[in-house]
Amino acid sequence: MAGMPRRTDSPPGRARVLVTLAALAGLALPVSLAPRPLQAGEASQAASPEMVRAVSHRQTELRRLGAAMRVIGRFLKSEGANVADVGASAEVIRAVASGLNRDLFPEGTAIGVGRSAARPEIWQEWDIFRERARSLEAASSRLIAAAATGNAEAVREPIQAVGHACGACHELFRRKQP
Amino acid sequence: MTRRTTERFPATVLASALLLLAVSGVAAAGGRPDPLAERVARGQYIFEAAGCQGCHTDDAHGGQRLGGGRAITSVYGTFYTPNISPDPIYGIGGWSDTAFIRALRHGVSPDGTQLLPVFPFTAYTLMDNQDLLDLRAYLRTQKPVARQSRPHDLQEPLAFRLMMPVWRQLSLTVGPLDTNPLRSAQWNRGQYLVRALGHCAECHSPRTWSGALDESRLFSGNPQGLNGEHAPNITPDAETGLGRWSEADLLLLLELGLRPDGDVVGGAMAEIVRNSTSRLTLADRRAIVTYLRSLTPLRAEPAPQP
Ligand code: HEC
Ligand code: HEC
Ligand code: HEC
Repeated sequence: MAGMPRRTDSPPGRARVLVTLAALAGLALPVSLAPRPLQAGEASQAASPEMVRAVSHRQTELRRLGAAMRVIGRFLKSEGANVADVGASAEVIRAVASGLNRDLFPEGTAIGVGRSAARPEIWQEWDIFRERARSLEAASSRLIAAAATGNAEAVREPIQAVGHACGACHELFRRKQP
Repeated sequence: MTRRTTERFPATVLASALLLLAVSGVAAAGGRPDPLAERVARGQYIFEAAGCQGCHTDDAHGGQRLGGGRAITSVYGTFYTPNISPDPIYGIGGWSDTAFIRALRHGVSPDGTQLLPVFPFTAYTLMDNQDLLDLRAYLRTQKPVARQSRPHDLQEPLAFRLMMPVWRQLSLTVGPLDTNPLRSAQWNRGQYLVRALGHCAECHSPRTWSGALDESRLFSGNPQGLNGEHAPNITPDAETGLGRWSEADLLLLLELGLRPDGDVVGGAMAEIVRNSTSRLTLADRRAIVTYLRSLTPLRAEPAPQP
């Protein structure tokens, strides 16, 4: 917590009041809504070059999801993409989603290793993580089917489901690094 | 201001609230619109726009809705959100409407306890009375949870509350929010949704030494926001903010969490999108965008280098 006042042990008199004020000053800042607090840099000592490579490989793969979603966003904004483009993007999403497993997320690649934004909860709550990956797979399958009808209205609801499936996993398991 | 018109509230919300009341036997028989049911429906909408549920439900441990117990950790210890279900003993069922308004407007509970600003009453103070009353009416229709609120686990529990009058003096501007007559109704609605209900500034602004929002740099981002997460600059600065985002880009962010580059927001913002902004009417999302785009562009302070 750079710049945050630190609490010292039992400071006397006026200093104590100041420390408390300072503590209050920070009250609304360093709070976390996480189910359990993270130990920042937990894994950093153990970061082998191999693990750093695993992180960057994973991120390259995940950027394919971003690229596909970008096309879908252009469809929603009527910026040139059509229903067929949405269908092709959904195929990419399903393919990547089906591979969100231990191969892509080996243990020892949490925040602290390379540029990783993967929270350690992924490995503590592996079943929930996998459930989120499966729900993206299911939503993208629905989108593929809807896009196959060629109907621009039919894809809207499944697109919502895909977007919310991305957010539901990022909410719990990703913390973007500044 | 004309914001409390019924057409803002989606029919589905109204319908589900009516159903709820019918089930609990409160709805008046017959086809006439029930004023209480309408207030409850409005209250639900406000509840969602204000994001009360996320903080007051311990989702991670299967906690009951509004039963509290969600842990909010900080370097000063752990805060546990209280039970705000209508249980008369463990929740706030026994509170009068006046007591409820006082808690949100002034941050003081019925027994005189000074509430801590980790509860964002610093934003809710800007809500108007009718919205507070409708919110209260909605909360009353929820399921009571018989679960004792867990005390906070702080290093200096008393000191925090004792310092509140000083903090309040320095940092609290009591609402409601004034309408700006020089701006459109849509802009004013957006200001209300962003400043009062959405409490967006609480995360997206830097703070002064006293912990107050830095009023001169509102919405310019906070590198050390909640959970150590970086809450980005949401002013229209072209370099460090949203200056290059179109109106459609901003609408998609609020509806789906989708950024123009195809990435999807996570962490605290994903929860805000899920519980709040995606549930608003399109008109309200537009109002938020109008307000955000009208802000003075500010450069974000650079994030501290690790
Ligand atoms: C099952 C969980 C999960 C789902 C579902 C998921 N993501 Fe992610 N995503 C992650 C995690 C974890 C990271 C951080 C990985 C890292 O930094 O090593 C991430 C990172 C990313 C990144 C950044 C990659 C980089 O360059 O660092 C993008 C872009 C992204 N996700 C897009 C998406 C999109 C779009 C979707 C939905 C179509 C999606 N993700 C669905 C877990 C998920
Ligand atoms: C960022 C998390 C957060 C949000 C959002 C939030 N609260 Fe709270 N709330 C808290 C915390 C933490 C406390 C305890 C404060 C204290 O102990 O001083 C609290 C206290 C309260 C209290 C006082 C309860 C008591 O027993 O003294 C009420 C009433 C309340 N909140 C209602 C609401 C309502 C209504 C909303 C939505 C408009 C809301 N809260 C949104 C975190 C939150
Ligand atoms: C509890 C803290 C919190 C609150 C409240 C909050 N935000 Fe955010 N917001 C964040 C965080 C953290 C991010 C970055 C998330 C990410 O990129 O994964 C973010 C991202 C954003 C972005 C995307 C900016 C970008 O450059 O990617 C926008 C726009 C935004 N928020 C607007 C809002 C609005 C409007 C509100 C009020 C309705 C709001 N936020 C309330 C924490 C918050």
